[in-house]
Amino acid sequence: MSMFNFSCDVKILCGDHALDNLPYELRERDCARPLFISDERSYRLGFAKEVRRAMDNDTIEFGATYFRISERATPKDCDDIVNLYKAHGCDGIIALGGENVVQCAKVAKLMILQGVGDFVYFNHKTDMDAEKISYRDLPLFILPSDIPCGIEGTDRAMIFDEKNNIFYNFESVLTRASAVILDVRLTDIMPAKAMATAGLGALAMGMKGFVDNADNPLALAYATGAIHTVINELLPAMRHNSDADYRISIYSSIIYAGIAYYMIKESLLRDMANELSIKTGRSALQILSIIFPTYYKEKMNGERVFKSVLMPLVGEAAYAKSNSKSRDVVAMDTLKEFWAKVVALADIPSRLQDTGVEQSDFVKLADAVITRYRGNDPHNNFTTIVKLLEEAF
Amino acid sequence: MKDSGFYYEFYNPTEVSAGVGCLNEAVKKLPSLGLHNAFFICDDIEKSSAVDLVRAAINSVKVRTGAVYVNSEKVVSLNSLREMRDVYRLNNCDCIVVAGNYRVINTAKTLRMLLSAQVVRFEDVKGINVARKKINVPLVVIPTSVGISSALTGSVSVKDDYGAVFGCVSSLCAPDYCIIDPSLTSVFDAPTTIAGAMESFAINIEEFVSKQAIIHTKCMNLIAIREIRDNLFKVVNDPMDEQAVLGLQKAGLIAGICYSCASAGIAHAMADALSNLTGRDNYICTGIVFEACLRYNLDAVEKDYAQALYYIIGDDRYASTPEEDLGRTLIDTSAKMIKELFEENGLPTRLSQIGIDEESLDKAVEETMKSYAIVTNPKNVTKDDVYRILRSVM
Repeated sequence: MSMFNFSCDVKILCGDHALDNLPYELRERDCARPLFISDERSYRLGFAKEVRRAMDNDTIEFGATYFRISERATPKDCDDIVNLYKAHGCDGIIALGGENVVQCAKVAKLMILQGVGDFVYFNHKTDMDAEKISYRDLPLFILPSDIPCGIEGTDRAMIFDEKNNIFYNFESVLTRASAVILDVRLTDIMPAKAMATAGLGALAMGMKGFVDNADNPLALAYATGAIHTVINELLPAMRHNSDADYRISIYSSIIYAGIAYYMIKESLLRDMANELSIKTGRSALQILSIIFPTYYKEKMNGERVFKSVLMPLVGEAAYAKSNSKSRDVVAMDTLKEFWAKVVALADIPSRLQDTGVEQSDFVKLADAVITRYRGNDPHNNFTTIVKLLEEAF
Repeated sequence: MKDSGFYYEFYNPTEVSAGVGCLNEAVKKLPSLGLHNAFFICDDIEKSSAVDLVRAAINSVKVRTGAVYVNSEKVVSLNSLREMRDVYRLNNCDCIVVAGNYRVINTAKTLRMLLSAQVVRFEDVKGINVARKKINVPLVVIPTSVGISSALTGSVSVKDDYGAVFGCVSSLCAPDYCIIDPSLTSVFDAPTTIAGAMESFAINIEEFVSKQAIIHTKCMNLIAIREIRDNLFKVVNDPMDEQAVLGLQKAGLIAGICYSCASAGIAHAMADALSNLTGRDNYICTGIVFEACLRYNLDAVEKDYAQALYYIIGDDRYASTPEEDLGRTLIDTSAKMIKELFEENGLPTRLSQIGIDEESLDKAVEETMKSYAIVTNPKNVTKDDVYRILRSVM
């Protein structure tokens, strides 16, 4: 029996004035005292003020505010949020910011719903499914004010405890957001370099999500939409980076690609990206923009559904005219060409050596990846990982 | 900052499990949704084995069926809803499980909204997003037919005490969980299945060209159209081909998911109006008006039609069709498919065959113009346009 599951009840509000609907969404979920969390960057750039303004004419008041989330989410940030939430009798969370804020908010939600008061509770439980079922909900609204990271619409959250060198990977419905609100007012002009790495990261997630979700029509559609958007809009978004429509379009493609990508239960690519992200201090999206072409060539090419990935890359007309026997080759060439064009235009790193990784790190990195990897594909072994790292170097 | 006017909301609150023979595996999820004592609603399949299978499956995960209610009304009446509410409360039920066709699913969705909002009168929640959730009443739907596009939407229709039908939209109508197992479509009824598949096809096309469509709903619609192309004739030839039935059900599921974002278009608006007037199923009415509606929208969405055509005719025919003919070919291919299948199965193809005459036309036009689907149609629709289209298929 083959069965597919699809669950993503995260509401996506996207475009002009999306933020104005925040009070309505809060009321819909009986949220009257939300905790408003963010980081210094979003506060400094005035995005927090925009959120306050959207709430101005409403009776809903913030239970508390906290704008000091670290640049890289830490266990302490999660603890601080949980304590503040409890101390002020809050009944929901509004999370404004980038990846750091999103990760903290999701983990804090899980901690509150599970009655965990201190992050220490998770010590050495590095892969966590929801241990207790909670019928309560805690409304969580994610307002990206930086390039999204792809986990916004998913049941995932990740925290790296730098002090103890432990990576915590949460997979639970209790980390799920109620809504993601993408509003132009909460975004700013993004340098072409940043847009390029994020777009390629989204393309990598979309491609992987496409190939691994071939039997799940809903996840497949999310991946297809994301690939299509990046292919058609990334270059204009880089050239016209003051154009908010392109920006929002790329941002939303990251969110949708992320949903398809994180729906894959186990992924060597994801484990490698996370491990390299920890090692280099770069985001997982940036790492994907570097290692994906190698991974694609070595690991994905030749898979059953790979020929059909050409469709979102080139469109129906070109696809129909292509030789059905060589579609995988054309897909590979199309992707390579696109990748090269974006890398050249934005002048972004395309090799691992540009990120500070050294060849002497490979053994340690491969060891960490294989420890993290929970899949049962025998080909995903230590040697394969080292080979991939060498190729991408 | 200048506004581009671009805005959308996308929301699919329903978790879906689908697969041939997946029922027993899928029901394992039910306890985690908080189900203990189910109010079980079914339609006239009550006599079939599907209901027994569903009941046995939910009982096997320790969810009791506190009460069973059979409802086969085309549009649920307020009287039935009151009765169901009383039975639900009397038996201390804490959730609703429904197995059946789109009608009984409509009934269960409406009941869930009323119970969840804890209102005494339906009038209190009538309209768009009026109902507010007071208590959690989990709703699980298990469709047993192919035409399931309405199963996942947040809209319902209700017949009031005077026989008038009105609609209501609320996220409280959307199910928490939907299990699609084609093994449960045990009573195969060719005309219903074909018309149901054609309705999915029509809605997916209309959603694809809707003014409110976004890239992700469009991608879903194209996948759905491909599922219909791949599976419709397999089901026609072998009704017991469960994988093919699943393909058609997936297409219906996708149409339902996209509806909350993209809405539909003029054919859907007309079909709703005609169905309410004549008592015939929506999918029959959709089949009658669809071709005329496709032609009506052609000049506004020719490029979209051209794109969608690929998923209907495949590589070779698409590659050999001149670019300027692609849009028109979509209409011709769809029309031919509907005509042949409807005629072969004795389904009506003209409005006069379902009791619409010049006298009832005014009412049909009036009701069509009230539909939200008119607003999202790619072309701005006037009353005259609706008259013209309906007269062309009299």
